[in-house]
Amino acid sequence: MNLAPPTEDHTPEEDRYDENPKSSNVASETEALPEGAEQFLAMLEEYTPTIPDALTEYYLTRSGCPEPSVNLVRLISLASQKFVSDIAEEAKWYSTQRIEATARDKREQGFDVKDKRLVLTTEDLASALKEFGVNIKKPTYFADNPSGGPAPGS
Amino acid sequence: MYADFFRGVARVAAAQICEGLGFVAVQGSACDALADVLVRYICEVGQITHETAELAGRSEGNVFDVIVALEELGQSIESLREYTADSDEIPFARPLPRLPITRRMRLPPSFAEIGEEPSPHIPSFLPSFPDKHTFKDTKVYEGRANDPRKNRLMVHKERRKGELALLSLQDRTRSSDATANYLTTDSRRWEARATPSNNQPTDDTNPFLAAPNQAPCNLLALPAAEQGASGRALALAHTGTKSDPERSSEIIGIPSLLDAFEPTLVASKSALPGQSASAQGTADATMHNLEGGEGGWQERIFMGGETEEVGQLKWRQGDHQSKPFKFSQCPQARRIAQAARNTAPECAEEIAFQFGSIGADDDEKRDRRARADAIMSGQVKGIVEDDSTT
Repeated sequence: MNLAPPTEDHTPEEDRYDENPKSSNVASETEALPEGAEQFLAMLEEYTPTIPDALTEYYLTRSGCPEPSVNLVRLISLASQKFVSDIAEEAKWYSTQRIEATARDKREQGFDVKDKRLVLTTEDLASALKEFGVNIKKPTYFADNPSGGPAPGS
Repeated sequence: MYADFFRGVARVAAAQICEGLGFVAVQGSACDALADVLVRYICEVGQITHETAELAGRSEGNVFDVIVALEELGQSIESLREYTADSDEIPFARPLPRLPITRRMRLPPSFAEIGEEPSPHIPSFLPSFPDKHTFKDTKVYEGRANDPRKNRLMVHKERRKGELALLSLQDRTRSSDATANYLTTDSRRWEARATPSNNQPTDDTNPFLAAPNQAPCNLLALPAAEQGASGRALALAHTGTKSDPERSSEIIGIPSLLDAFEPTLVASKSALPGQSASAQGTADATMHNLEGGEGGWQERIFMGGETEEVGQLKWRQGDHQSKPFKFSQCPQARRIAQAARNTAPECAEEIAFQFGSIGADDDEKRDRRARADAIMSGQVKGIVEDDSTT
């Protein structure tokens, strides 16, 4: 990055940076934008992600990107949707594992009789999220503990 | 402000994504967790985008910043493209408005727009003053439907006025001799029009040639020998035209109510073709059969007044169409018979023929009758009470 020494000229900051476009971090990406990406971004205008635009806009505004363009909004919505669906697929894998194991395990037959339906449970989700680095383990609850709540140290 | 709303929206979106993957159901807490993850992800992308843009000296993020952010979080454009190609497009379940919803403030019109001339110290481009009724006390006129009790009283009053009008009309048109009185004495309802009997019973005169007031009651006096509804009607007609002294001696003025009502009742029992089953219809039918004479119109009035009574009699019998009407069973039967005896004692034979022994022991039952009248008046409260005040 070109650190211009503070001078007397009062040109605005942006102009100084604009003189040297390669100085920004994004410079590499400017040239390296994949060819299909432009088409893809253009196609996004017709694509409707599951996550509504209003939702994404609201949270983007809260986190620093006020009034983004439609392309950006759709792109981020799509990315989030893919993220969530990846998690859900992992959880689905866990729950299908559980369903297939029902015949063998008596204990599972106690609570999941002959239900072959796919239900996303918190346990499956917790296992899936662990792989993504998110920990949603419920605190342990001991019923016989007079105070209730999590055990000390957990 | 919208945090809860969008949290709910995120829940729905997460659930829809799961549904698209094949899940039949989602646990509530799992759905909440997924929604939280979703929201966090969006916020994270936005944050990194902004930081990247700031790093480049810009304040607003652009698409390159977003791509950088996505790469940091482990996604690429290629993978996204594959995702769009593979999976189906699932739009959000409900349309969402753009929040926050902005409404254009509606300014009050200025003086110039209204055309109002403001005071000289106020320029005309300023908004006009609010209407006087918003700050000044204006008279409030009482609406109509305020007091249900008052409304009811008013309804009764109106009804009574209408009845009085009808009664006065009948007073003016019908005869005021004994027989007419007998029909009215026992029912307080007809009190208002009870007139002293000062006329001679029309023994020898043709009712159609008699004074107008006397005609109606005579027409009601029919010999009991006639049979059939149409026969009744004809009898009604013929009575007027005949000037047979023998016959008219029978027609002293004791109306044969049974005969008078019978056309109505027979018609109601057996639906005679061409005649309506209602009392009114039959009375009118009988009226139509009357031949000419000046009495014709007056009878109609009288019969019209009586029809109501007939109707009431009929209806008090209950299912009048299934049971044959028995005059003796009628609640007014006794009173009518007694009144007949009171008003025309000289025609005891006729009375005995017409009414049999109904109400023969009137002396001991006179007080009972009075009590019954009191009860009746209690039932006809709205009309009777107002009558007493007039």
